Amino acid sequence: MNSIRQRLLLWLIVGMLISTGIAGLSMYWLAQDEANELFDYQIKQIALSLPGRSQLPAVTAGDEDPEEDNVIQVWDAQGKLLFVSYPSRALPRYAATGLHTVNYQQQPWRLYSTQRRGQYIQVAQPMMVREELAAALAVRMLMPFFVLIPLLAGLIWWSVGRSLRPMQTVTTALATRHADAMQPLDETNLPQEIKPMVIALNQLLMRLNQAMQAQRAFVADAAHELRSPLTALKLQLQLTERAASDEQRAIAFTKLNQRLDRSIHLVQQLLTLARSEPRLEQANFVTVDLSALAQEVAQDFMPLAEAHQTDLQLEVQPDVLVLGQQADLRTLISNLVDNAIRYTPDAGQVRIYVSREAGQAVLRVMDNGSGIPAQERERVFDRFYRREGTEVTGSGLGLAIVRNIAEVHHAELGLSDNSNGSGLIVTVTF
Amino acid sequence: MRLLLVEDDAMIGESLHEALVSENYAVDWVRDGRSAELALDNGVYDLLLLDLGLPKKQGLQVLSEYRQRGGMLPVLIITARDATADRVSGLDAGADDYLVKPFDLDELFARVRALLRRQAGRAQPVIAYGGVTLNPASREVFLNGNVLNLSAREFALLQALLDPPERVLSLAELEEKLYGWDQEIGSNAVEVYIHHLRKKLGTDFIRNVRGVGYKVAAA
Repeated sequence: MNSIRQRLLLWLIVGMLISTGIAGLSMYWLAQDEANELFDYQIKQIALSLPGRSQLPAVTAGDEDPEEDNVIQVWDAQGKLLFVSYPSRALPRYAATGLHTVNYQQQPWRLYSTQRRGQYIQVAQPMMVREELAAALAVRMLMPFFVLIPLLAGLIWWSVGRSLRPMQTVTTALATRHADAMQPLDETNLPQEIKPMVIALNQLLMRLNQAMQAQRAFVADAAHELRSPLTALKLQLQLTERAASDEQRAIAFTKLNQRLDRSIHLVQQLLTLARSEPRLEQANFVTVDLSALAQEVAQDFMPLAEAHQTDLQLEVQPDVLVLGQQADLRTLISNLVDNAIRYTPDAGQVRIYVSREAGQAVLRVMDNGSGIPAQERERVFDRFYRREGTEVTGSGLGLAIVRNIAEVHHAELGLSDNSNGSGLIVTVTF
Repeated sequence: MRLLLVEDDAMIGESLHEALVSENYAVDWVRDGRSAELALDNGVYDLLLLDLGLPKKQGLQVLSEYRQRGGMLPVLIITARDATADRVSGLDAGADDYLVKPFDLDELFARVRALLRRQAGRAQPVIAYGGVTLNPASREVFLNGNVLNLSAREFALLQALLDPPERVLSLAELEEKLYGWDQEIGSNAVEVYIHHLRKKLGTDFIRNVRGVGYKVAAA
């Protein structure tokens, strides 16, 4: 049974039946108490109101013997039975006086015995009479409840259904909207039990909406940006087809290769960026040796540095450890070193520093290129932002990827001027 | 025909420049909005090829300001923005045509020819004048039904004179139509080409208007 309505109804009805039962029982006990008091008084009064010996009726035989009637017996001082109301049910004479209960013929009886004017009087009443009376009383008092319970059941069924209607409204509102409809649900006039749920749902919708918009913007940007290298590629391909001489064709093929490399680079960067988009979870974080990683990256970039006649140097303290994802951190360092080499004029200097400062792991990549003016420093981390006047055809994604990875690692990114003349220092503080 | 190419992407610009030059257009290539404005002020171009996302000044702004100044050049927008709204705003800003990247070179050439044709006041793709028929698309020239063999420069010169015909062009104007910035011009190069053309078309076909320049005249 998985309906709130049915469950509520079941438990309320069960509860009502149990409490009615308990009420019935206590009613019965109360009535029994009352009946006891009343009937005790009655049999006492009967005993006390019996007339004297001379007026006692003769012992009668062949009485009607209604089961529930009192049995009155009178003996004289010698113990001779003078009177018995129902001879067929005559009880033995019990010695005790006053009120007491006895068992006679497997039936409890209430007795009142007294001695008056030399006679011994005993009035006996079957307890059954009292129990029946108490039960009848209890049942009569419970009667209204048995009428009320089905009525209440109906009321519960209806009111629960009615109270749950806002939930139905919310459900319908959610079920009928389009996949892209991210506007929040109406939060007004909601019961306080449902309101927190709807508010939470609206917050989720809002976050989803932001994520979707970011995704959409990313796809739009990516589509736009992909067109440029593809256009360059297609144009060059057509020029290559038109080449009139082998010499022209050879030059065209070289250019074709460059265009293709650029497209490949952009696609790779796009994929890396998509992968490095900040996620909430930081699963798979392990201890990464930043010093060793920087050394590996420096090794990887030696050929590129040589091609640009750039002096690539490494100043690394040993065993600088950070928590993070090895592959992401490698991408981060690689992008920074790659940028430093590419955007520094040939025969430049690029240095990688890894150290521990004030308890924090610090990575610095320093070049002696032209640097980045202060007003552009915020924007260079934006996707597809390319600085004007740079001859290098980058994807505009390298620093955006660096920023994403830094965010996931809760690392701080800083750009500053190289104090030894011109150039840029990128500082990552973990 | 001299074209102004405005494209900030080095690789695309290089390829476009090469492709258009191979089609015998004189092409000047600039890479940002400001340079485009400066170049347009020279007033020597027959067509503007304009990219929209430009450094320093956006392509749309360059275009609408050029139109406000009264610029009449046919403008072909070349852009990666493919949304309908972008096309609409591009055309409404004064563009005559819109080409979305990536595109086919043949289509680009065809659109350039169509725009130049309209600019010259023609609807026919082939120019026919005084027994000479010039087809800009196939780059063929016929004289009274016989194929003429012209060099690229000779063809460009003839087209400049024929499109539209009977207009007098000075030597300087002819030079501008034939050569981009990056091309060396021999001191009397245009006169040499005119001499060659006269040999092939007949001496009277190109007339010298004394003190002004040259024009074609039907025999």
